[in-house]
Amino acid sequence: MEFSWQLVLKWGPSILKSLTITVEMFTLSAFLALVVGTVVPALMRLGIRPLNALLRIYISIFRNSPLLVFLFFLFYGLPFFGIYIAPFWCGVLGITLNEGAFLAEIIRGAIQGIPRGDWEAADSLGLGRFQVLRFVVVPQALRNAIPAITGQLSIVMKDTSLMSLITLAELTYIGNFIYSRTFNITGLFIVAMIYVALFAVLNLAARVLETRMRIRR
Amino acid sequence: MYEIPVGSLLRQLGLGTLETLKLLPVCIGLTLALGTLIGALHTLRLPLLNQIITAYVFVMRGVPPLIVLLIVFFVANIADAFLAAIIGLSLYHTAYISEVVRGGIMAMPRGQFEAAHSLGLSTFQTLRKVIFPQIWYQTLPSIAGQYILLAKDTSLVSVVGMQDVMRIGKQLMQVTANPFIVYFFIGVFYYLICTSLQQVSIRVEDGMRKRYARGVTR
Repeated sequence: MEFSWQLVLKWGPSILKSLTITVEMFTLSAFLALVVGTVVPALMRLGIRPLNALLRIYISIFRNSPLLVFLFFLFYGLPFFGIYIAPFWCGVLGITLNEGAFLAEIIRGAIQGIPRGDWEAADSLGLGRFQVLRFVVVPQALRNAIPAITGQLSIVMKDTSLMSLITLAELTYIGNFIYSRTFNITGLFIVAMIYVALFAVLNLAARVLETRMRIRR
Repeated sequence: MYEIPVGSLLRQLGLGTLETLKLLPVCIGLTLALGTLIGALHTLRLPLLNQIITAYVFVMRGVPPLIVLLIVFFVANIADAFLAAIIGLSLYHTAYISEVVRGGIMAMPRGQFEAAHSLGLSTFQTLRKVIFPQIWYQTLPSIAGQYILLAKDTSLVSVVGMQDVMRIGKQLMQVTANPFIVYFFIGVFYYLICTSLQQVSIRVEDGMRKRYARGVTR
């Protein structure tokens, strides 16, 4: 049961390979989720009634049901209709839609926090409805929301661990696999430490971004 | 492969959901108690304890709950799936609750602590009689949000061997060969659980607002 360096050496290459899959999936789905999370609240600001109702249903469904259920739905449910999606893309699609809903709520709150005066000033400069959002409101909102967005992105990182349950050989899968082969916990510990290290990097990046984007008044 | 009538399908999934529902109140009680304790201890800045709590929170914020469950299950070698699920989920979510509580305490103006001390209240009394009654109202939305995440994380407990709704769903799927309908209903069950938690939190918050808001200006 104790820590074993031999295991680390033996399984090192597979752990590294699974790390690249985790990082790949994180980067891709974090980016797409951010796009969804920015576009959805911006669309809601346009004030088109049926569209708003639709977007609110989308947010409510994904905020109130587990990602794992949706993943199984994609992975096991869709083939029932003859639609096959590879595990990796099930994951990207699932995380994008799920975390996109959470990010949309965060960014919507940040947009609401932009003072009315900014909207009015942009209007009076002759900017169109879309331009006001694109050049004035959304950039400020994104900056204010950096800590909350970082927290959510750390959850995106954790979400990638669910892919081990739909047969994708990412970090958690390998950790679990090593245990089932050797009954030694070392693999899972290494994997846990890698996740913490990734989280530390994410935190650091967010802090750098925050100081860089700070406005000097 | 044969058709299972929808009624029977729903009944089986309902039984699985019941297992999940048994887990929820225990975890909520445990994380609330431990999270409050740890969050309050964190604000005291005790020399060694402070570093330990910081490290614990950092690790839990970095590690996926699935890993926490697996490690608890394998390391502690707990045969009882229910117990392993409770320990794993509570270990993970306590860190988040403690952060919320800590944030609530830190947001209180310093004058409150000083006033309480000058009245001769001990640190414990200050927290219990002055600070906590005020912060519950402000932290409730965040705590409720965390418990909705907890409710969703209960979907992971089949990995430690619990016969929960996800496990039963998988078994039913193999029998009926219609995973679509199975996971649709599971999704609906979870949606109902999460939205009811949300409703409860809104009700409690309204009740608190009526009682406290008059006295608290912030």
